[in-house]
Amino acid sequence: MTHPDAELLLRLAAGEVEVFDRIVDRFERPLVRYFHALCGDPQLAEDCAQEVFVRLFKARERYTPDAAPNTFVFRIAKNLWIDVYRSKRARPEATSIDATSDDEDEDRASNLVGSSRSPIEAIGLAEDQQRLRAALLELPEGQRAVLALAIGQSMKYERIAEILGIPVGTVKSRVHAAVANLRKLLGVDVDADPKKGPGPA
Amino acid sequence: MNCTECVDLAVHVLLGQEATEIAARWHEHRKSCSACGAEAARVAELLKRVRSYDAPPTRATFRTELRERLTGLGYDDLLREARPRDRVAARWAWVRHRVRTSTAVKLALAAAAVVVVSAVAWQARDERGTLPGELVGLAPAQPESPSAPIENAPATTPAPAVEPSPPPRGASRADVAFGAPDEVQDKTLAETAIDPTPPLPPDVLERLELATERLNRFATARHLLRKRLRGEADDGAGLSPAAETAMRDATRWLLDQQFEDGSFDPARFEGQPEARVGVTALAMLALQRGGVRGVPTGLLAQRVTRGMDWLRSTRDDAGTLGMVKGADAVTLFNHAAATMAFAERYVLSGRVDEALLSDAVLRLDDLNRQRQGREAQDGDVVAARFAALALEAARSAGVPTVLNLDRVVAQARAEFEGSIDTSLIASGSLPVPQFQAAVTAGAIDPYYTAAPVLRATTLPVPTVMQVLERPELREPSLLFCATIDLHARGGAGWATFEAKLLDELAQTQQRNGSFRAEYAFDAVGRAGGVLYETALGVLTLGVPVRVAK
Repeated sequence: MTHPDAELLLRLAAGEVEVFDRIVDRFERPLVRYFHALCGDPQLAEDCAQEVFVRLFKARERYTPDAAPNTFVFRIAKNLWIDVYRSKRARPEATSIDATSDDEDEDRASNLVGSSRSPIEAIGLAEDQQRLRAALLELPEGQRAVLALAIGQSMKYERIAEILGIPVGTVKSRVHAAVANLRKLLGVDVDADPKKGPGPA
Repeated sequence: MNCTECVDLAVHVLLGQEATEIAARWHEHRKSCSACGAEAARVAELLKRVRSYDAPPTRATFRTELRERLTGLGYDDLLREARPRDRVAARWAWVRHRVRTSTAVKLALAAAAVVVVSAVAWQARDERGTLPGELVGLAPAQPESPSAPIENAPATTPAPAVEPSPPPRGASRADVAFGAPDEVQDKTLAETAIDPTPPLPPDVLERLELATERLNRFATARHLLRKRLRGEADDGAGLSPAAETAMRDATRWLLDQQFEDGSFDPARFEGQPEARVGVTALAMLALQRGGVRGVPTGLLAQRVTRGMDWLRSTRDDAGTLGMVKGADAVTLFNHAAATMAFAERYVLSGRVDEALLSDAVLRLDDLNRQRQGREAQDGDVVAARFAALALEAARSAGVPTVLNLDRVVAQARAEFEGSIDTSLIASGSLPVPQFQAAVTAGAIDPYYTAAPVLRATTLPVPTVMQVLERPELREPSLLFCATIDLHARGGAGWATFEAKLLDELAQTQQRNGSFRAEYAFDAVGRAGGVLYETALGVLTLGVPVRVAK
């Protein structure tokens, strides 16, 4: 039994480039969603997703049926994010609001790092989503990454461990810690009176 | 399990990451401890919020930009519109990549064997076809000929001179020779005027008449049901454009998730692998009706056939489709949903073996009884709902080999109706289990038989509408049943409910067409995940075109 996504990646690996569009169809939203959870910036998330597809296309012949398709794609995504994250930390000044994606002469990597949300986008976000975004960005990088995969992509811990290259136990503890931190950051009442919780009719 | 463990495990269980046994123990503790129940609700609420955190829609230029980037990197040759020759080469490369040499040799040998056998068969046919026309002329000297019994008829019966009808224009001699015997035999039997059957006793005749009448009744009911399931019944209403779009998007998403073997894997979408049979069956129920209306054709028909074949292949020695463990809730859901899919397939296309369907119905009755005899489990309410719907589906489909099906269906329904305290109905304060039972009972009749029956347990319209208003009642199969019930009743109540329903479904439908799985506290819903929610979303949206008012 071959997974439908694996089928597409195998066909791409065999040189059937027409299926590339279908692969983009399949992974576009999951990747944008993943990067958005990591950076909170829609523009940067889309740029990163594009970069993943470029890397995927370059590495298409390396795909083998031994790897789960999600693992293959999200490993590329994880490695890309490490590059972006390191680059961001190394050059914090690069987050210039003057940098625009329209600037054709701009170096692509610095463009990825340099894009930032516009005030209009910020206003457009719902209040709850804004609070959630702020809280997620407050989380340590490792916790945010596992949360983005465990909740955002509904992946099993074993798969997440494979993608991030960490033990399953670490994934579990990071998810636990991330949820606990989010509750504090969002002000969810951890000491609420249980009797006030929802009960049967 | 103690409270500390329960709190520690909450997030993992709610994310569907823990083993079934641990999750079951966790749920057991959560139900028995109000503090842990409240804590679980808070964690679930937080997870729901995080799940709802999504990126804005991707900008329209995403694809163009991506293509430009690849072109800029020198991949423009690869990404150009593939020519037919390239396509053939690519296909061949793919086949070479996928098929091992040994498999290719086996396939080639098999193909060669087929060619040889066909050639031999053709040769033999050709030889028979060129024989003199003994078969055409009913030559008595040919004992192996189909005309042999006629020859043995009493001598007092003059064998009429039967002239073979002239061959149709363009037909070969061989065609006539092979096509003639049955026709000639029929004519000869009719003309010899011999009654080969002795007279039947009156009681047998009476039973035969009753059976014939029953079969006729089934045939008529099946014809009407087929029209309704196809959305072609005269009494079916229309769908709003928004509902049609939502239904098409969800159907397309479902199609995209089907595996090559025909199945659907709930574990890919927040579900669990145990429910693979159940969600595949629900997807089949959604797909085999051909989308909004009609019957599946082309690719969709192939996918449905593949899915139904896969469902059939999951049957174990006891006849269970999708056995997980004993008669647990997910097993019952799997088997019931598969039986429902077979019953509807039987009505829609007739392409289901009656014996298979009969076995499935009998096994379903068996599993349902086992459930009633054991201790209650999480997920039983939903599983019992599917069991009742599936039994009614089989009864309405007219499965002729299960003679006591009426009684079986009545027993299944009595379980729901018998649990309701009718004195509480008017006050609108029914406990949740009784509310669920009443809504289910209200849906079974109208869905398959188009016969809304006002019963003592029929709930007032505003009470049924609570399925959309109270979060603890927001379960896709219950929503499906409430929609059937209220649509069958029609009027202002339905109009109000329909508007609210579409609004609710629009909120939970994602951009890719699927419906978010938000119901996390029931074993069946948890195991089914997004596929369960989406398939039921399609079925719910289709109620107005498939259920009579």
